[in-house]
Amino acid sequence: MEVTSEPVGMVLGTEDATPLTFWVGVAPDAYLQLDDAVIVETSVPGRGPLRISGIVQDVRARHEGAQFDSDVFLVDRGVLPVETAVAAQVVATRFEPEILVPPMPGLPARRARGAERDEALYFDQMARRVPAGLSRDGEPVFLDLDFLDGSRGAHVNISGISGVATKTSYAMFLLYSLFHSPVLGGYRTNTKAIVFNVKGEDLLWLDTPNARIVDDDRAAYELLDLPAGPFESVGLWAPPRGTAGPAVPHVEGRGEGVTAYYWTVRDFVREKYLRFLFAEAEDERSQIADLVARVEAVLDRECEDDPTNDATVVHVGGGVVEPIGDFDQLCELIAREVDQDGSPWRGRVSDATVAAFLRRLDAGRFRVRGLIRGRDAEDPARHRIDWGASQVTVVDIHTLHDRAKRFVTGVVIKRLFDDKERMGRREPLTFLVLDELNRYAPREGWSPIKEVLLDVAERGRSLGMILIGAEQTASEVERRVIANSAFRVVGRLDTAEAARGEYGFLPAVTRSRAAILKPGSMILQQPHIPVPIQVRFPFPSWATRADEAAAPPGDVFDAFRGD
Amino acid sequence: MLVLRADPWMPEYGMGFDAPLGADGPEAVADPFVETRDWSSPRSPGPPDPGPLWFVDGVRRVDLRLLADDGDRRVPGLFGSFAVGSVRCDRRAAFGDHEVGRAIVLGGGVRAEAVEAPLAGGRVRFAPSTVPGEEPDAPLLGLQELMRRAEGATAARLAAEEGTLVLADGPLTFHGASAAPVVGVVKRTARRYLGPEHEALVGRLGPGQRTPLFSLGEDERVRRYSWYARLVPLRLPWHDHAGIVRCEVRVGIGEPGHVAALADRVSALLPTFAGRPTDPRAPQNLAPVGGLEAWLRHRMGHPGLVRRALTDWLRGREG
Repeated sequence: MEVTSEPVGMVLGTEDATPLTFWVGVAPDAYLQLDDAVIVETSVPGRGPLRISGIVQDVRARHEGAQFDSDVFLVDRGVLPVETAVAAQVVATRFEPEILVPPMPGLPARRARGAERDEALYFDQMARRVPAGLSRDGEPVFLDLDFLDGSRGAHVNISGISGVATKTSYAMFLLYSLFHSPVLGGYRTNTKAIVFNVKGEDLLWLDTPNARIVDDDRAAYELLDLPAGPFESVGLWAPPRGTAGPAVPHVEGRGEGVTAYYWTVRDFVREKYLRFLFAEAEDERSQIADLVARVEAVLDRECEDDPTNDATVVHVGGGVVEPIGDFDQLCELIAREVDQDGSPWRGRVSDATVAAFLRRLDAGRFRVRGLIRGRDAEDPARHRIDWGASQVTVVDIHTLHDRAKRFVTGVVIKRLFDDKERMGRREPLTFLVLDELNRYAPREGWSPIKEVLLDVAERGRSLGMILIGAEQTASEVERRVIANSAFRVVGRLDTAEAARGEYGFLPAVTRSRAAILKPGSMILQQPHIPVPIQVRFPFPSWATRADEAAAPPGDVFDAFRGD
Repeated sequence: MLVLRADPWMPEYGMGFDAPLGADGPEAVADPFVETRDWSSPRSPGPPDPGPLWFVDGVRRVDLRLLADDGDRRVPGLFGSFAVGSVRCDRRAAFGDHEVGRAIVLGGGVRAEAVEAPLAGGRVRFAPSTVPGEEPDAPLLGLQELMRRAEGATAARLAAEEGTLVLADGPLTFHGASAAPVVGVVKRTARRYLGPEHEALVGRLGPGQRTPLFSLGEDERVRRYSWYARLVPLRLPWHDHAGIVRCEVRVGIGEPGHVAALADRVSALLPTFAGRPTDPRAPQNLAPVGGLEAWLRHRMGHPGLVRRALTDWLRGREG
C-alpha cells in the first residue's frame, strides 16, 4: 500500500516559530493528534531546500473572538459568532540538511506517512531496528539495537506504578520482540535472557500460547512483523518446596516443566556466596562487609572438596578434619570460628561487629536453608540454574523471603556477570530482566547486589550484558544505574513522582500524560529521538495466568472451519 | 431625596441616553398615533420566533490625518479604513461575507488621486473621496458616510433573500424595497422624538416589550416607522432608559398592522441578543454585533503597519 503524507495545515505566525518548536494551525477539514509526525518543507536562501520533521506534542482548540469564559454559552445559543481555531505544537526532531532555522509562518505542514514518518522518527537511520510497539496512530515504533546491544549504548530502564504500569509486561514484550524478529541475526539462538519472577506466577507460562488473544491483537503483532505466539525456548526455575528431602519446585499453578533450583555447600564456599546473605543495604561499606570478605576467603582456603560427595566440603583446620555435610553445619562452623578471640577468621574487628555478623548470619541462614544443600542433594548439577539451556530463563523468587530473594538475585547476577566476563566478548548478548530495582540498587547505601548491578550498568555495555531494569520510582534507584540506560520507559506514573528530576527527559505535557496512561501504553525515550513517544504494545501472545494457558485456540476452532 | 441613576456604558463611549434634556417638547416631529392612540401600557409580544436573521454592522478607523495643500488652499483630510460585514444567526451564529474599504478623504471638495502603498509584500489601496465641508471633522464624517453606504449595500444584498430578517446596526441606511424586511437598531438615544406623556412609557417597558409605533421624517422617501424596545430588565443603579434601543423600518414596508407584527417579532427577539455585560456599550451593543465588530476591526489590518506604510509612502513621494 502506497502511503503519502497528507496536508493538515500551516505553520502559525501568531506563536513564535523556533527551530526547536513551532505551532501548526490545523485546517478545518484536518486533524493532528499527539505524537503525529509532521513535516514542513521550506527553502533557505542560499542553501536550498530544507525538510523539518517533528512530532506533535500538544494540540489546542479555542474560540477566536470570544473573550470570556461565559462566551461559550452565547456561542452555543447562536448569539455570539466566533471562529474555532485548532493548533498543534510541534517539537522538531530532524532537519535535513541540518540547517537550524525556524519554519516560516504560512508554510504548509503535512502529516508524515510512510518513508517521511520513518525519517521524522529516525527509523530510516536504524540499521537494525527492534519493534517496540505501536504509536498512537497505529504505526510501528522501533528502537535502535545499536543503542541496546552495547555498540553505542545499552540497558533499558522502566518506571511506573505497580499494577497499572505493566512494566514487566513491556519488558517481556521487548524480549519477545528481540527473540522473535530477525534483528539479532546469527546471534539469535545464542542470545539469552534471565528473568526474575517477583510477583505471582505471571512469568511461569511464557512457553504457552495465550488462549485469550483476539484478532485485533494478532493484527497488532502482524503490523510489527512478529509472530503471535509463546516464547520459543523457555526454562522455568523455582525454589524447592521445604528445606530438605527431594527438590520439588514450589509452584502452585503449574505442575510440570518447572525445575527446582538450589546450590550446594561446595558452591557456596567456592564461589563466595556468603556476602549475599548479608545483602541488606548498609550505610556504607561497613565493618561487617570486611568481616564477610575475610570469612569467605578463609572458608575457601581451609575447606577442601569432600571426595565422597560433590556437594559438600571438609574443613581442615588446626589439624582437625571436620566434614561439612549441610548448610547448618557450615553456618555453625563459621559462627564458632568467628566467635573465638584471636581467630584468623575474625581478624581485628570489634566484638560489636562480630555480634552483628552473627546475628545476621543467624537470621539469614534460616531463610535460605532450602536453597543451599549438602549431602542430601540429589544430582546437584540438574538443579543448578542453567541459563545456557534455553533462550529465556525464568527464575521464580516470588515465594521467597526478602533475604532469600536478595540471596538468589545476588548469586545469579554475580554468576552471570562472571560468566560474561570470562567469555570476554559482547556477543551473543545476555539480557537480565529485574523488577524492583529500588530494592536491589537503592539510591542510598551499599550492598553486594548493588555493587554487582553497578558493574552490570557500567561495564555490561562492553561485556554484552544488558539490564532491563524496572522500578516503581526511579527516584529511589541508584543514579548511575539509571544514567547508564540508553532507553527510558515510563508507564503510569504517580504525579508527585513524575515531578521529580529523574523524569526531566519528559516534557511537561508528557509528564501529565504519564499520569493518565492506560495499562498497555508506555512512554518511550530513546537516544535517537529528541522527544519521548507514547507506544502501545500488544496483549501478550503468551499466557500470563493458568486460565490463559488453555488449549491452543486452533484446536477449538478447527471444528467450525469445515473445509 | 435627589434620585441618582447611572448609565451602564463605559464613559469613553459617551452615554446611551445622549439626548439634550431640559427642552419641554420633542426636538423632532413624530406622529405617535400610527398604530394606536393608547400609550398607557407597553406592547407585549409573544415568545420569540427564532428563524434565520442577519445582523449587519461596520467599523471604521482613521489611519492617518492629513493636511492637504492645493495651491493656496489648505483642507483637512485623512486616510481611513472601514470594514462591513454580517452575522447570520440561525441556531448557530456564523460570520457572513465581509468587505474592507480604504479611502483618502479630503475636505473642501478637493479630490486626491488613489494611493497605493506597499505593505507586507502586497499593496493597500486607498480610493479617493471628498466632502464639501472644510471643518476639521468633515473628512471623518465622509469616512463614516462611506461606511454607512457599504452597510446599506450589504443590508440590501442580504434582504434580497426571502424568509429572513435583517437587523442593521444604527439608523436605516437602506431605504429601497426588499424581499426581506430591514430593521435599523439604534443604540444611542441622540434625539427625543416623543412628548413627555408618551416618552414616560419608555421607562416602564419590560424586556422584550415595546412602545406603540410612531412615524418619523417628513420626506416621503425617508419616512420610517419607529418604536422603542427594552433588552434587559430594569435594575438599579441604572436609569430607566438604560437597555433601550430604538428600531426603525421604512414606511413603504407595509401597512401599520404588518409593521406592528414585525415590531413584535423584533422586540421579542432582541433580549436574546442583548450585549454581553463585558461590552463597553452593554447591553445596547448586541452580542452578535459586538462579536462582528471585533472580527471586522481585525480584518482592517494592524493600524501600526498601515500607518507606517502610509508615512513611508508619503516620504517616498517627495523624498
